[in-house]
Parts: sequence; structure tokens; C-alpha cells
Amino acid sequence: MAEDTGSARLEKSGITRRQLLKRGGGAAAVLGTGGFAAFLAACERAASPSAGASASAGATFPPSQSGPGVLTVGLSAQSFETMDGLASGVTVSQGIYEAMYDHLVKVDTLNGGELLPELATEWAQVDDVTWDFTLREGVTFWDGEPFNAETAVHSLRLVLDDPANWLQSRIGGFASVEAVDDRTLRVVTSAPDVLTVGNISQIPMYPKAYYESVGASGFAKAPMGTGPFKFESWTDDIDVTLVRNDDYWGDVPAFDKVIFKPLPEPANRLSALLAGEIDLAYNLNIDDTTVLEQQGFLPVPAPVGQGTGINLLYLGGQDPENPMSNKLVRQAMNYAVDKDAIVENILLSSTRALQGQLVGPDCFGFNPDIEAYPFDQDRARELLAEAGYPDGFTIDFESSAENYSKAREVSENLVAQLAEVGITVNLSMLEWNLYLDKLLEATGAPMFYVGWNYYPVMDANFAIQHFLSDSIFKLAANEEMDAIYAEETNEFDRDRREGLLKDFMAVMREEAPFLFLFQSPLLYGLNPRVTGFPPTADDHPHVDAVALQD
Amino acid sequence: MLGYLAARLTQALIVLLGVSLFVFILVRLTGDPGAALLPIDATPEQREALRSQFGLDEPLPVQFVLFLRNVAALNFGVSFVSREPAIEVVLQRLPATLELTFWAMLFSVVVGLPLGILAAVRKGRILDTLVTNLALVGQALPGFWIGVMMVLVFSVTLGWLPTSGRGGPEHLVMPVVNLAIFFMPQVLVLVRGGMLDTLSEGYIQTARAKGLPEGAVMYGHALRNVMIPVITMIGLNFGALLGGAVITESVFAWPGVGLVALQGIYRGDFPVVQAAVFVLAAAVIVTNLVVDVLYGWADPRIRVG
Repeated sequence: MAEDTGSARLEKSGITRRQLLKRGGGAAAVLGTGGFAAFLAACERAASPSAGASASAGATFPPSQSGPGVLTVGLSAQSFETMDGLASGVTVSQGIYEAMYDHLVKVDTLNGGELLPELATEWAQVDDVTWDFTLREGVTFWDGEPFNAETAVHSLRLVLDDPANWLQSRIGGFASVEAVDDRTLRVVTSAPDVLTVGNISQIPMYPKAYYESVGASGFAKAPMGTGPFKFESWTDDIDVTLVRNDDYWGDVPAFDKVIFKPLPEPANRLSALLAGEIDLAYNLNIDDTTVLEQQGFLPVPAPVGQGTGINLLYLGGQDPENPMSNKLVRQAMNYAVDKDAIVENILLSSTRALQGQLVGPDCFGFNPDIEAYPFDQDRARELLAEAGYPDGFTIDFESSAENYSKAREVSENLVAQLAEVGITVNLSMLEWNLYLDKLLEATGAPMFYVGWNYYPVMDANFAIQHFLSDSIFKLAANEEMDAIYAEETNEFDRDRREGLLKDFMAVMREEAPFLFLFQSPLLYGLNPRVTGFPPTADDHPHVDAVALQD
Repeated sequence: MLGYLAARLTQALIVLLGVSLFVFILVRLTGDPGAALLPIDATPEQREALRSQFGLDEPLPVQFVLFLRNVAALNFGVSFVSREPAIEVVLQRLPATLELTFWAMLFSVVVGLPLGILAAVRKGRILDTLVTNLALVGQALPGFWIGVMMVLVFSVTLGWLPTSGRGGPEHLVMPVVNLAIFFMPQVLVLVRGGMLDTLSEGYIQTARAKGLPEGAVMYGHALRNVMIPVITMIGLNFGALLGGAVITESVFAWPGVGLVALQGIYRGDFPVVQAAVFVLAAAVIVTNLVVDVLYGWADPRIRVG
């Protein structure tokens, strides 16, 4: 049954099963899960009377054990480790922090990365390096401590005074933070930085008096914020419970309580969702889409703000004789690969293909006028011949299966597609830490599989900075791109800056230092009693806007 | 007895040292944790700051000497991820693993022992064939697969048991059975074989010739002798069970030492991995030591070796 769905999907995209099998990668995975889904469906049919009975109260909903007004969320952690959002860069707990803490500024991760007021109602630039934030009045922490400029300074200081803090990469460039008056926070950066406001959006606001009385370790166990949910309890390795903050300054959540459970493996989260133990599962396997649909659950794809593809121009480890120092070759490789087929068949349409640029339409700086390289292998062969490689060439390619969803299948598929235009690719799948070591030490292969983040700030500046002559990875050396970037980083007018980012994207498409594939996929599974869940691009669930149907 | 104990303790310490060294080298082969813990776009300065904070910028021999000195004080450093002492991160999870292992062992013995006796008594009959073959199947199937299937059937489809996690007794059922499926057949086969051997011994015939009731022959004479190798196996397999628990813990999201070690490996959290392996190794060594000592106490002949 599931195999039928598979072949229907293939016909729709105009690829025959034989071709897909020839391309390797995805086919095995699709068929593999098909079998599992069919088994599961058979189990469910056998047990349908009891399942139907237990779900009778909620009409058509699959059963949930949460109870009315309670949302249970399964996150991919073995343990939540700390409630202090400043202490750990482990993104998985961010969904919990998000529910408890507010920030000065909020980034709209659904539509184009717009900056919205949160605890700062407005902000203004005084000069190139000085920014004033006007803070919201009447906001208090859960224990009644007022939120003011002093508390904001304190929160930012927690990061600035700790050189090893993971958020240093965001606000490390702040030279000073001070309270001008009770409602005004002044930030001075050491150099002009167009991302100042976006970066400040990453720092949660903590209460000064409470934090100082309990200390960092006390705060990590019993936190306090201004957010829509109040911390209630944390049982090590079992769950974290938050309750609605009825005094919240913003929209008070529509339900009473949220419970977060650590479920490290995707299989743990899938079975917990199917069994009704959780209502919202973070990061399921893409292949689980079919099972979710068959069982009456909602698969919710949330493309992450991360441009995934293959780096083609890698000056760090590349000799000048490398065929890919030729622009025509890089363009040919972009033509040779059917991106849409990969998204549809391997990623089961859980994300969107990149439109010939590093960022998606959810990012500030996205250029809607650029088109993706069409899938045209004849054109690819022409370009290769023009570049002096009529018979193709051989090249090394490194990838890692651990950090990116389906990276193995996609990488293997790319090898097969590039072989069709005569490029022989030697693929090595490396363990992630080793892969990263080679990348950072510039000893990696000339082609490598990578995702460049532009979340959580959702600003293209974030991703394109890697494609400059003087960037850490030295992924491209193009004077035009360098010049646009230099201008862009000094352009504080948001509209003009957006124009420059769009220009950068156009040049980058032409130069093709990257094989543009897709935004990293992320799949949530929902019990249909959960409505209004926003599939944001920042890689963690936002539960405050959710409504429950009980 | 004291000399024997001292010798065994010295051996145990040497083994622990060896294990620590091995893990120290092994985790460092998996790449730079400074790379794994920071965002891919972190600057070289930030990576350097992190490396120096955790002492990873020292030359390897220096790191190892520091490591040994700290291990002597049971200090494995601070977890790169949670910033808590690694040994605490691990020891907090030890009860969960021991709980799982203990019940799995108890279950294996309570079920495996009578079945083994029954199979021996009914040798060659249907019951024997059934039990022996089931044991064979149980040992041959991969544990993680059985675990996944159990979740599908008993949690997802029937809704009888929770899918995963730790909590009340109902959370224990599937992980314990899953882990026991690996161990119980061994008990069963050993008891069956031992009983068959013993039942053909001369002293059993003597006992029967004396006119003792069959029950007294079985339990009073035969079983007592069979129990010696069974107890040995329980002791020696405690370590194997702890190791097997890594997979079971992963399938059932059981928050034990194995799961902590596994997640530590994924994230390049060296101190936690080192502490977890050390604690598991220490648990195995201690059990073996206890078995040895009990042995020496039960049978003075063994003490000499």
C-alpha cells in the first residue's frame, strides 16, 4: 500500500522508478519505510475496536492522555540539563526557554525575518555604533520583580562577562551596555554592526535580584522569567512542567499547562505520539510522514533557516588545478542535479528547494527575482565541454550523516546524478566531529555537504559572510561579492540593505560557489487536537500560540 | 583471605586504570569537541576560548597526566554541555541502570530457573523442545528489534504500557523483559544442562536408591549443585547486562548511564563519556570481585588460585 503511494509520487515528478533506483539513495529509504508503515497500519486495523473506544469522547481525534488544557511535548533530549537558556547552546531545550523567557526583540521566523517589538517597544540608532532601546512598561517577573533597564543590562552582562558563553558569537561585539534611565537601554558596539538588533533578540531577560539571590546554579534549577508560561517543576530526566502565566503582559496562552518530555530517539517520539503520551513531537524522521497520515496525525514540516547544499569552491583545501576553480564547472554542477526530485522523493516534500540562493523566502534579503538553476543535464554537459572537461573529471566529496537529516541518501543521490554528466565523485561519509575538524582546519575535500544557518536572526547577512575572501572558511574569493558585502554591512537603512543583499544573491547565483539544494527539513508530528502550531524556521517549537481542542 | 582480597583489589585497580587510558585515547580520536559544541560559524577565537576553558589546548601527554591525577580523586572534569561535574551527571543515572539490570536479572532467574528444571525433567518431550527452541529464538533475535516491536504492539497498538521513559512500575515492564530476553535463555540452558549432568551422577542414584522422594532428590541434591555455576554466571553476566542495557535504554528512552554515555558520544562530551565508561567498568569489576570473594568463602579450594 505504501509502495503504491511511493510510485504515485514518482510518476507525478516525472521520474520512473527505474531511474530513481539507478540514482540510489532515496529509493531504498522510501521502500524501507513503506514496509514499516504497512506493518503499523495492519497492527492498527487489528486493534481498531479498542482504539476507537478509547477515542470516543474526542470524536475523531486519536487518543491523547494529556487531559483537557494540557499540552505534552516530546523533545529530542536525553535530559534537559539546565533551565538556564544562557548556559547551554543545546537547541533542543530552546522550546522550553522560549515559553518561559521574553527577549527585547522578536524575530519573525515565518515571514522574511522582520524584527518585532517584545520587551523593547522601539529602538533607534543614535550613531553607527550606538543603539537605544525603549523598554516596555509595567512588565514584571513572576515573583513581582519589575523589568527595567537595570535587569536588561544584567542579562546582557551575563553573556558579555563570560568569554566562553555560547552566545558570545552573537553579542560578543558589544562594547558596552548601560541603563540610561529606567526605561532606556543603550548598547554600544565595538564596530558598526547591522545585525545588532537581530542579535540582541537572542538574549533572554532574567530578573536581577532573584538571579543574584539564587546564583547561576540555583537559577538553572528554579528559573524565573517574564514569559507566557511559569516554571512549575522539573523532574530530572522525566519532565518539565510549565503553567500559564495569567498575568502575562502579552497574549495569555489559550491553555493551562505544558509538559515537556525528553525522548532522545525519533522512534521514541513517534511511538509516544502514536500512543497518545505526547501531543507534539519535535523532529521526527522524514519517513514517518506516511505513518502519521495513516494514523490520523498531522505531519507538520517546518523548513529550517539553513541553506543546505554542497560547497564547491573551497580555497582552504583546494589546489588551483582543481576543475571547480572554473565558474562554468560550478554552474554545470548546479544544472546537473534535479533539486526538486530530491526534495520530493528523498525528503518527501518536507521542505523547499533553494531558489538559486543561500536563503529561503523566510529570510531578510531573499531575492524573489532569482530563479533556481533548472535541471538540465544537456546544458551541464555543454558547460563542462566549454570549460575543457568534455569527458568530465574525478573529484572527492565529504559528507556527514549525523548532523543533517537524510544527508547520506542525498549525498549518494548526488553522486549518481553527477555521474550522469560525466563527473565521477568519490564520496566519503565522515563522523560529524571529524568532518568538522577537517573543515575548520581546511584539510577537507573540495566538495562538502553543509548547511549554512541564517536562523535564528533570519538575516541573509548571517549566511553570506562565509562566502567572502576573508571569512573563516574562505569559500569564495570574488571581488564583487566582497564589495557588496562591505557596503551592506555599513548600510543601516533597512530597505537599502535589503537591496544590497538581493544584489549579493544575484552575483552568488552566477558565481555558483555552492550547489544550491534546499532548506534543511524539520518534521513535527501533531495530535490533531493541537491547532495553530506555527512551523517556524528557528528549529524549536513555539507553544504559546497553540490552541487545544478538548 | 586478606592477602587474597588485596591481590584481587590490586588487579581491579589495574583494570580500571587500563580502561581509563583506553577511553581517554578513544574519545580523542573522534575529533575536537571545541568544534562540535559551538555553532559552525563561531570564530577561531571563540573555539580557542572554549578549548582553553576545558584544558583541551594542553599537549596530549599533559592532558593525560592531569586526567590521571583527577581520576584518582574521581574527578572527571565538567560536562562540556551541562557544565556540571561529569561524575555527578553519570552517578545520578546509575540508580536507573541498576534498577533495570536488577529486575532483568531477577526476572531471568525467576522464569529461567523453573523452566530449565522443567525442561531437564521432561527431556526430549514436547515441553522441553518448546522451551529450548524458544530460548534459542530469544537469544538469536536482536534486542533492539524486539524492543521496537514490543513498543509497537503493547504501547502503540494495545495501549497497555507506556512507550518509554522512567516512572512507575508500568514503565519497567518492557525494558526489563527486553533486557531479560537476552539473559534468561542463558540461565535456562545452563540450568537444563546442569540438571541433566547432575541427574546422571552416582550420588543421585544413591539418593534414589535410598528411597528418597523424587522432589527431595531434585531440589535437595541435584539443584544445589547446579546452582554453583548459575550463581557464577549471574555474577559474570551482570557486566554484560549493564552493557546490553545501553541498547535497551536507547530503545525505551530509559535515563540510565548507557543513555548518558551514548548522548555524550554524539555530542563530543568527553568528560561524561569517560566518567560513564569508568563507572560501568567499576560496576563490572566490583561484581566480579564480590563473586570471587563469595566463592572463596563458599569453597576454600578456590582461594589458592
